[in-house]
Amino acid sequence: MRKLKAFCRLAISAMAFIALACLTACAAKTPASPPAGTAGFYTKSVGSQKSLARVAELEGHLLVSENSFWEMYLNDETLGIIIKDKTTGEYMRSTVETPSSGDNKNWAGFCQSGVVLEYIQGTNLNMIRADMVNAKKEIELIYRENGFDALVRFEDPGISFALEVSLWDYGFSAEIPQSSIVEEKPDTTVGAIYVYPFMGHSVLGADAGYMLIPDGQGALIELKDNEKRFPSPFISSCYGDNIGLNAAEAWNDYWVLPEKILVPVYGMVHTDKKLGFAAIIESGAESATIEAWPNGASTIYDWISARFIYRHVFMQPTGQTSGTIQSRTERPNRIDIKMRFAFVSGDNAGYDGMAFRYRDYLTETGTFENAKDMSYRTQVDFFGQEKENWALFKLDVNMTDFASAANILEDLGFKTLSVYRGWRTGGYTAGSPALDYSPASGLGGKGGMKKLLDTAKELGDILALDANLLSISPDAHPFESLGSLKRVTGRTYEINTGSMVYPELRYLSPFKSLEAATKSNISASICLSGITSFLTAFKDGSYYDRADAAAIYSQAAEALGDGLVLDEPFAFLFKYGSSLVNMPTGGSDYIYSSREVPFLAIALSGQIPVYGEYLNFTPNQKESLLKLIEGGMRPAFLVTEENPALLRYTNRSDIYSSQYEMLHEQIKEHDKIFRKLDLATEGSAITSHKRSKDLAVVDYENGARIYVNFGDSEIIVDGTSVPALGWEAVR
Amino acid sequence: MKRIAAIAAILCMAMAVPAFSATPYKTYTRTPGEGLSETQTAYEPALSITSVGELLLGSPSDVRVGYDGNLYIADTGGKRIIVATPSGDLVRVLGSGILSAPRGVWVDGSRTVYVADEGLEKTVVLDKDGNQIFEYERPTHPLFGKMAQYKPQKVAVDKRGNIYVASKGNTNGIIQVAGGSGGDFLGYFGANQTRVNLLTMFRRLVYTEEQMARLTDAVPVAVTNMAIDQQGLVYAVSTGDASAPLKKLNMSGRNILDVSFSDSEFTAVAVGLNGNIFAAARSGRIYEYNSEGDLIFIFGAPDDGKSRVGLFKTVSGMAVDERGWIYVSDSEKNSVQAFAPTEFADLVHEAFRLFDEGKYLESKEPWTQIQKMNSQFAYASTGLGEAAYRERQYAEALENFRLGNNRRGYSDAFWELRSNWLGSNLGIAILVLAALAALWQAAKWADRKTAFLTGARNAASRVRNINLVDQCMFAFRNIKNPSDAAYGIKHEGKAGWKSSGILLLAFFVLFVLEKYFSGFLFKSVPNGYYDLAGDFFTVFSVFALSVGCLYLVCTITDGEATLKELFAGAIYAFAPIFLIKPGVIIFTNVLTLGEGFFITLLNVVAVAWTAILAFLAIKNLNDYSFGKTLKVVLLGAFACIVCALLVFIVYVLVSQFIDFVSSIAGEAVFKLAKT
Repeated sequence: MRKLKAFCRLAISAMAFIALACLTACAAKTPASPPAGTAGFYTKSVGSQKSLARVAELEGHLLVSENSFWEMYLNDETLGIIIKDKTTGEYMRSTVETPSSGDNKNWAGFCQSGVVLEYIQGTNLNMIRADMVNAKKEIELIYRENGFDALVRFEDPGISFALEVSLWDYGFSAEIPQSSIVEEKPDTTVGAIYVYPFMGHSVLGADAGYMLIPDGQGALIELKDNEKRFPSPFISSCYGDNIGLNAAEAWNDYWVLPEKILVPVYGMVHTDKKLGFAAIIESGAESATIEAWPNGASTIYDWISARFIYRHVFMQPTGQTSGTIQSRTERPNRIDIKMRFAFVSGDNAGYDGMAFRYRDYLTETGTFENAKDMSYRTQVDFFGQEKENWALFKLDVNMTDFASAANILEDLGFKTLSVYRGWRTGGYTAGSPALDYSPASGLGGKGGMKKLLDTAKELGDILALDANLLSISPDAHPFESLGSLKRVTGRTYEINTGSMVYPELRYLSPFKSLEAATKSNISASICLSGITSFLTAFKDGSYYDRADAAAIYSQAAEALGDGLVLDEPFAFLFKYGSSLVNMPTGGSDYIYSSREVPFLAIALSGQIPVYGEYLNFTPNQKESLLKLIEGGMRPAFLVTEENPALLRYTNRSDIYSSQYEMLHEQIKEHDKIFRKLDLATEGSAITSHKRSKDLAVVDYENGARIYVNFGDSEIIVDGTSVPALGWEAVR
Repeated sequence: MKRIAAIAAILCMAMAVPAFSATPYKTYTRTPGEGLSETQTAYEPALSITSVGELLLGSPSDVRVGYDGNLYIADTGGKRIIVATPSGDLVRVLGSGILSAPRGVWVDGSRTVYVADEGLEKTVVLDKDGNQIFEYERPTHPLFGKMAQYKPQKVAVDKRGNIYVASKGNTNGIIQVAGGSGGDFLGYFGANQTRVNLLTMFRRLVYTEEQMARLTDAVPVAVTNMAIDQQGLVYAVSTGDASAPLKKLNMSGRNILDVSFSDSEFTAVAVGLNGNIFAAARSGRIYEYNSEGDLIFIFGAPDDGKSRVGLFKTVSGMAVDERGWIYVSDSEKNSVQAFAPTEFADLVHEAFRLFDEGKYLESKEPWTQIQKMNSQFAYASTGLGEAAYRERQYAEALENFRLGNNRRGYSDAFWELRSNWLGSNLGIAILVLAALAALWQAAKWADRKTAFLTGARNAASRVRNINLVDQCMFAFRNIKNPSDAAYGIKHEGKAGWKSSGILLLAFFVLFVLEKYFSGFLFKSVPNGYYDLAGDFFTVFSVFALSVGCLYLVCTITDGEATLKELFAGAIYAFAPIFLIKPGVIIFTNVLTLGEGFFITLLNVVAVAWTAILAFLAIKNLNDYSFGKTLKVVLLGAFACIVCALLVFIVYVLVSQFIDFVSSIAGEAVFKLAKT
């Protein structure tokens, strides 16, 4: 039977070769021969490009698929592709045509490959790279109407997988199903895979344009000769650091931690060609990192890619203070790679165009179904209770009781979205990990809370109770904290808070978070926090990867019901939210970042209410206000009835400006400004965003145009005067 | 169409926008008495200059802002001085072909540029077009010193034209040279001092001169960098000088600055608006002080390996321009980074300016704004406290000084409030006291007539007659007659384990009360700090160790006291503390700093009296002579140290052994699980 199968495969392959040979003979020019150094390579093709009406070749690549917008060309030796814009004739390569003489063999192979494998031998810390040029391999190609499937087998590691590439109206998709991965040698496993890492690459400023990295709101890395000024690339895990494996970065004296990647999207635009793409990781983002290499950081190329990590090698400690043993995760991460390369061209070839593509994807996948209320609200959050030390026990520090919160809502006189933080017994830091309805008695207890909820309802406000399903204080809950999150090493993850009251915090195991969510008896609206911006591999008996954790957190969000207010959520949770709060307005200030752009805000505009970080803590109030206006985001404030100086000796000493008495005028003033903006834009989506040195010009679907002037002097544009550090709306 | 064209014209510069966003470093401010606390960003990274025009910076060692507003960068790697606009555009290049390794640069009002060139071992003076005017070589004056090094690192020039040169390895101080064609050596200025401690004193006694010369800590460090303010005062930083790394030198070279927070690794210094002083540590922390040396902000940080702006590898120079922007050169990252003050920092500077000028009431507005932005900003509370104090709003001043942790201000406001209270209530208080005294006398008279207090007296007597109470109260006889007390303990059973334990517990309570519940002005621990477990361990372990060791020493020195007697004798000696400390705790809540001597006096009396009683208890209980008692006490103290050391060694050994065993077991379990 096996022999028969082999014979069939051979026969089909032979036929495919003959067909391919005929086709190539008909072509004006034969494809380029394999690059120098190609080792042990052969390709078997199944099917042909016969479905196409014509045969075409571009820079050594054969046309394999086309639609109304794009043509896709393939180099069957490297699996490199070229996407050509049929309207303009411009195209983008996914591989380097001729490597620089300065590139070493490994880099030359890497940059000429459509897909690159990294594998682990034993528990060797360094992964070995197998590319499409240097490695011994076999490729079996199957052509389809809208693309091709390539079964790739690397001989040395004995690893094979299937790459499925399809052309769509938006561009193309690339998939590697986990079920297609075969590891033949027990001690050799897949470490990581790159899929089209050099798509749209550039060399030392040969193309005008930029790379988009999902840092905070989004940042651009300009394509220009950097003269080796940038020593290191941007490498960041999608959905934040994997603290279950990597060294933890908790509280420290020096640094504000970089922004987490909330949305697994990156992009590249060649502005001179008016062509670019947004690469959306549809599946597998939990175990992916995004790498953007500006030229000068190792090579002369500018390239941006996702790297999907299947296994990790880590140091397993054996003693309390010393002794480690090298180990690797007991099973591969669950990754079904699916990437959508959504191309942008013409006037859309920019970061705003990429944002529209991402918005299209989110809309297609039903992400905004829970976002039904787009009416304008200013976010005014309350901070309830915290604890401070006393001689024999800890004292309650009541900052805003429920009656005061109700008074504040009445005094504001406009519709708000409010999240009540620190409302539960135990206060903000030491609230019970069980998500039970236990309003702090010091704030007014259940009776007080009921009155507050009734008041909010009467006023038409949305009042959501904060539910942090992540943190737990071992001091306050010693028994519950026994089951807290364990890293892959089996060690409990502990966070030093730097506070005297609760110096240590832990995280709940995802299963405990899910349990708390399913057992929750809170009937009011909920603001889900903590797990919304945290994702890690962990150990709970056996190894769980980040995809498992994401699935558990999704279940937890689902268990809490529809229409959650989500606190700085990762993209996979967007669909559970009615509004998104605490969203970043800036980035991490990377030295290679030439500019920050409101990519995320543009993508979400008109689809779901997006609120920024609390304005009361920003050092530049005017600039922060303008940034919100520029991105179509909404303002947020955190208020307390009492002077926040009372929090000085608590875990939340970082709340240093919140007293309502001091902030109420500013809040009301901001509400007026943003209501005026909302009146102009009618809550519609952004259709264009351009930024000059000091002026941002933002167009909306309803025809409104907003000018935002970040400069110190007035700007007159098209007869409209935009005041210094101000904005103006026109239709 | 016209509209689109207008927008397009503006958009053509789209990629030249500097980044303004959340900073990669934290910003701290100082809360007096409590250390540092995090605050809003004071300075944001505004610009990172790695090349000026086409010229790449190569190990820039210094940066200054000229009177023309341009940046003067000592580009050591490029062997030149680069003049650039504040936004990093090239103005001109000076010194190419002349300079070898320029490490320091200074520019005066006439745009004359002074360069400290380590490679040439000269200070070179260039005119504004880059022509060499003068050069100053190693001074030949005998006072300069035969062995003294001349490797110019930094240079500064005062209004009189005197040149100050900081030389590598020259520990005599800043080299002062007359400007102009002469270049006469004027002497050393602002030399650092070595720290004198017991060890150095001992070394000076026994070491030879050669041996002393070989000791690095016996030689003062060289001045690393300098700046000069509008008044001509020189500011110097000295890397490695832990005692005074930042100095403000008067005309005679004496330090007149006392900073509360500093860094021994300061490598750069600059003077900004309002005389504010900026000092930067090599690692990247930048400190801003007001002219009095009060720390306002700390910001910046070492590089985190993630290529973020505003972080440093090796800070080499710093300058501040008229806008308050700070420029910092980094010789390892080959860059000059600019920081712009935020709205918050601008407000703070304005408030400080008014405050330092004594315009307390005018400063109220900016302080109020600052407090609105940060209610925990201690300086704002102090500023508002001062303003309220001058407006005679003492209660408001008291509250603000309390928030600002300002003890002096609080003390003054409290004095005023107390004075006011006494002024309006003294009469009533005297009347109440008189009434109470009269009532007491009346009660005594009535009791004599009717004996109506007999019941109460009998009840008190019954309580006193309870053995445990009697034993506890016996402690106070120790005050009257220590010999009798010792006799009572030894022969009359006047002390027991229980009573001694209760008294020890009472001492612990007093200890806690004084530590945590003293008045704000006299409290010795930071607010919000409580460590009862630690206190319990400290008090009881120290007491147990002392008594235990003393007992061991007594047993081998023919002492007659038992452990129980020594324990009782020791705790009964604390009677003065039981008497005085409650009063001390009350006084700390009603006295001001000016009256603090009274509390100090009471404490000294309590401790000295207790020590004497303890000494006498050891003597009497063991029937020792005075000399022998002294010997036993000293031996006991030595035994305590030995015991503590022993416990520490045992602890370390046991914990290492446990870790070793658990490590082996962990590895075995892991490998078994794998197989």
